[in-house]
Amino acid sequence: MIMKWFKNELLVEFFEDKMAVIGLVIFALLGILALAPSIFTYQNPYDLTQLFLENSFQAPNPNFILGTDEQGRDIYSAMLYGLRISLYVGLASTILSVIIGYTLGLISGYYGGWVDTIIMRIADIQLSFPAILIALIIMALWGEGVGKIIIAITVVNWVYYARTARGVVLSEKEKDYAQSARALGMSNFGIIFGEILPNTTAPIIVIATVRIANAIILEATLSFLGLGVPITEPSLGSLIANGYQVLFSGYWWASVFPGVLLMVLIISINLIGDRMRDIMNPRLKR
Amino acid sequence: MVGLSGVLIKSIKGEIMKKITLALTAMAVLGSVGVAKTLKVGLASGAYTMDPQAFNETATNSILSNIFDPLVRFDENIKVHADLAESWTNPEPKVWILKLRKGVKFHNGNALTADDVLFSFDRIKNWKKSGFKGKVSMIESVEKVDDFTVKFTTKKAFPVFLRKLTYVNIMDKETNEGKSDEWIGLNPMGTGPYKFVLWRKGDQIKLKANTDYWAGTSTYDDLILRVLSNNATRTAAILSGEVDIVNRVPVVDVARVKSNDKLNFFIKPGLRLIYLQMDQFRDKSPYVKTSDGRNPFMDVRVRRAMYYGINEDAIIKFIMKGFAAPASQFHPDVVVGHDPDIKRVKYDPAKAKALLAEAGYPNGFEVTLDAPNNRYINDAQIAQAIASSLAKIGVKVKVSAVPKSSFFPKTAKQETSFFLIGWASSDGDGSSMLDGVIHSKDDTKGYGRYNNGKYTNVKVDKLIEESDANMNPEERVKQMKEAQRIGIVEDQNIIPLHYQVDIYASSKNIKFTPRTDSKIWAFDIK
Amino acid sequence: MMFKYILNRLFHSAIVMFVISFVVFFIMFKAGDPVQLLLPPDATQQDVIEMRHALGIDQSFIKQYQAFLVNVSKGNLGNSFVYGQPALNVVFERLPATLELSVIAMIVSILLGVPLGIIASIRPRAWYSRAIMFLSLAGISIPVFWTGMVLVLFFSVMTGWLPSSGRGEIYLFTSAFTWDGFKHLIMPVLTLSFFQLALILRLTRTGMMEVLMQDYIKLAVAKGVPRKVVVYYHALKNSLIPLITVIGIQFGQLVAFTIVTETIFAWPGTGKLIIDSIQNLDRPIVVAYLLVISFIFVAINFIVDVLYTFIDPRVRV
Repeated sequence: MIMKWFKNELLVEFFEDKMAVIGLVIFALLGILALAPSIFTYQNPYDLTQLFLENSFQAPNPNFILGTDEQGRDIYSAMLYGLRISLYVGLASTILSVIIGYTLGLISGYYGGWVDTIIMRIADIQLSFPAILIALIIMALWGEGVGKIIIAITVVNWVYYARTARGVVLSEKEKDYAQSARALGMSNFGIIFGEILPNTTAPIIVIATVRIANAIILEATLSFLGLGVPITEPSLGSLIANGYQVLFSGYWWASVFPGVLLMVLIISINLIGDRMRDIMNPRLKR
Repeated sequence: MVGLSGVLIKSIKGEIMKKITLALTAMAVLGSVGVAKTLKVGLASGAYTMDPQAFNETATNSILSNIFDPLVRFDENIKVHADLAESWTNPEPKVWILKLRKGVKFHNGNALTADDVLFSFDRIKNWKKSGFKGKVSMIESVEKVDDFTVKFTTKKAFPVFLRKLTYVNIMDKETNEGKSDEWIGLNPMGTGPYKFVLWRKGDQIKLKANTDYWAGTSTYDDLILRVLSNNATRTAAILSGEVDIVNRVPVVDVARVKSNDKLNFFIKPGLRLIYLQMDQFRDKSPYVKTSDGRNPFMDVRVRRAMYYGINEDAIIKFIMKGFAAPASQFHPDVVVGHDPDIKRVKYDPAKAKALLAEAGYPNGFEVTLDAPNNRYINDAQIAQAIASSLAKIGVKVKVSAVPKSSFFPKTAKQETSFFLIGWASSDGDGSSMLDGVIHSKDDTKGYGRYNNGKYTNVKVDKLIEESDANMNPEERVKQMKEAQRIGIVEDQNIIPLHYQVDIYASSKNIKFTPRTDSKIWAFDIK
Repeated sequence: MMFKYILNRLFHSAIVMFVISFVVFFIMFKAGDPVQLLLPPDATQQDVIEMRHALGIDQSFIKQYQAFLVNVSKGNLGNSFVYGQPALNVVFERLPATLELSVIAMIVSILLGVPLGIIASIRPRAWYSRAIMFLSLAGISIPVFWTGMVLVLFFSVMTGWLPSSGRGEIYLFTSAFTWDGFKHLIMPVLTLSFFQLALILRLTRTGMMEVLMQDYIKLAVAKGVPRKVVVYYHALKNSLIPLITVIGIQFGQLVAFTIVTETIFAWPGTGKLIIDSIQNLDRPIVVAYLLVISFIFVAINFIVDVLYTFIDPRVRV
């Protein structure tokens, strides 16, 4: 079974492109770092007993290999923990958006009628709004917190999945296999999740990979504007924001290193996403 | 012969006269076609309105102080000086008679008279949206004695009256009477050293020198006030010379400014105290977790432990980069009521731990520290540093730093157990903090509006109320000092941290003296 | 038929704006009391009550929303709590600066993105195509604020070539025609357009590649139609459709991202205004701003939809 999966045509094609593989490797590396940062770091930046003001704004040195911020937080350690938060927010909000958006989209497309109208109207209205504004208002008025940011980003992003899912369902439900399933007396639920869903995962995966990157950027931007995660548990975005304030005073390490890491993370995700999109795009098949 | 010589002399005189006239005219023309001097100021925040009676807020007040004059004004050390009122008497405790300066003109040429003064005071009293009501609420009546004399009667004896008058800018009755609030908010008509030219909200304000200003001419003909609220942007502007002077230089940029040999660097201790308030009225406080479930802040030993347990010196050194004055009490030294005998304690974590153990918390407790993140200098960073300090004596602090729009309503509803906040005694008199923060909350009498820890001590309340009505300066100060001593030394009702210091940078071509009240008054800049 | 469609869309757009206004109004209503932030510490409880009444916020939600709707019918969106001026005026004052930035950034993105996308699509494996693609990857991966920071660091702080903030002199409604204005525009526009450029580039490339593989293209080449004609006429025309859609959507996003750019460059537009107004709980401005933005957005989508029907004959109303 597993071997069959590995020999899957798509996977083979994926690995053909060197850049994509590099992206995958980097992402996997970052993922490992993020899963258990305590193994790789020598300071827990969230533990206030480990922070000493006397270490404030030290340039990179043997004690703190990438320098410290103004609270004496080790930038290297903070980066890895921040990476975890950024990844967590990106993945969690994407998964939630996919589940919610996809389900709503499936229901909307399959059942049609007023359910469809309502859901799509809401989606339309939301799409009439630049995403960042919605998230901005939610965060500015609701306060800070990782949970809240995830919800804010989910609220912004579910529409994309809903729209796509609905479009796919609309075209799939008239197809032969779906008709025959209905003729055979299968329940609607069974049809939706048993038959149609598996045939539609490809575009969703593609969109999701792109949107994970977007979600991470959105969180970073919100944190940059001061509306993101709490300051004692900084994400990469808030580290960059804090560092930006002091960037021109010469304390460059506080902003540059987290910034580079964020860039690397997003580029790796995009490399993977790019390749997946190229191989799954039927119109690019020769 | 005589006739001829007479004519000759006349013509020679004429020639000479002509030449002299020509020379004088040339000098006059050249003199007036001097190069217009422009002063470009970079400000951390702009004005919200051009109406000097709408919004009592430092940035707006600072900008409008260049266009308007009050009856009396603060100098750079917040001492009261004559301004539009050239003299005054206080014949009875409740009566103040002010004599207006003659010959003062508004920018449109109207003469300043008592009518304008009455109009200005009445407007604040009657306009629902004025933020200056607190400055005139003690006034019972304002009467015109004659065109240049005004009589104020206060409801009770009010020793701080003149200080409150510095906030009331005099507006031209003829221009403003009957106009809508929106119009007044866009068309300032004052008597001050600068006239209004244009206002691009959030971007800049352009002013032009008032050549008829009663106190003389300003050095600068044109004033451009640019709003550069992003710290890094503001610093970049002064470093590149795009502006001539900036306020609120971020503490981390001071080293760069100092090392730049084209710039001068100024610090001025300010009026704003940054301090911590604690929940002192509930037996169970919502954001504290202790082993016995009680509110630890009810015990004075715990409050003292906080005081000893916060390494304020490190905060000043590393977070404020040295640019803050350690605070031991409510008021900085320029404010009336300051007590030089009250000193700050030294950081002593061992003593703090001992106090906590004595009070029954040998293993500390958990608490949330609420703070704004966009109100005071480095507020969120200070809160984090405090949390870091307290962690070392066993108190686990969770920092919740939120925008001021969420923070202040939280404190007003007492939805907090422990919070960081500031207070500026902008009158220069200690009554401001004593009335607003220290006195127990009493909405009917208007006391303790910001006493959100709800600290209560009847002795202190009595002293505060007495000092508010005491016209004898020495007695008054004694009462204020005693109220403060009981509050801080005996009760530890707040944890004082530091006073903010104003930091300015300017080009070396300018002579600038910073003011305690943080205003930039261009007339004084040479 | 067309008329009915247009009417339908207009009605639809109106509903959208209505719902938006309701939601935003509600959120801001729930957000809290701005009076605390407007009044100084020495204000009394009485002052607070009077100010609330003067601003009309002591009424119930329904009453306030009703008053709002009545005002809207008169073309008035209320007065800003903070500025005291009509909210719509305050927003409109700042709008030209933001629009200038957005429009110029969009033009730059299109002018650079489309050609680069075409180049990268003709020979996808050539070294220059790969280089362009890598650049575009960077473009969509680097957050707007990071681009801005790096630009300011290099061009202002380190070299001093360009001014770090503000908007320059204005001539004929825009600052692009003066040298001073131009200098101030360069970095904000680059910051804003880097992301857009990359996106448009990639879309053009993908669209072109898809089309170039179609049989009718191969047929045209076989028939001897010059390469250039094939590329520019047939291929480009067909890849324009998704492009236009995206540009339409992206313009709205662009206006939103100007918020970050305006913060970094102290650009006096609506972005800074909205952040401050949210912080100050200045509900009329937030509502006015969002309505203006959604109006722009809705209008653009509407135009795009109508254009669609002309360009793509397959899309029947």
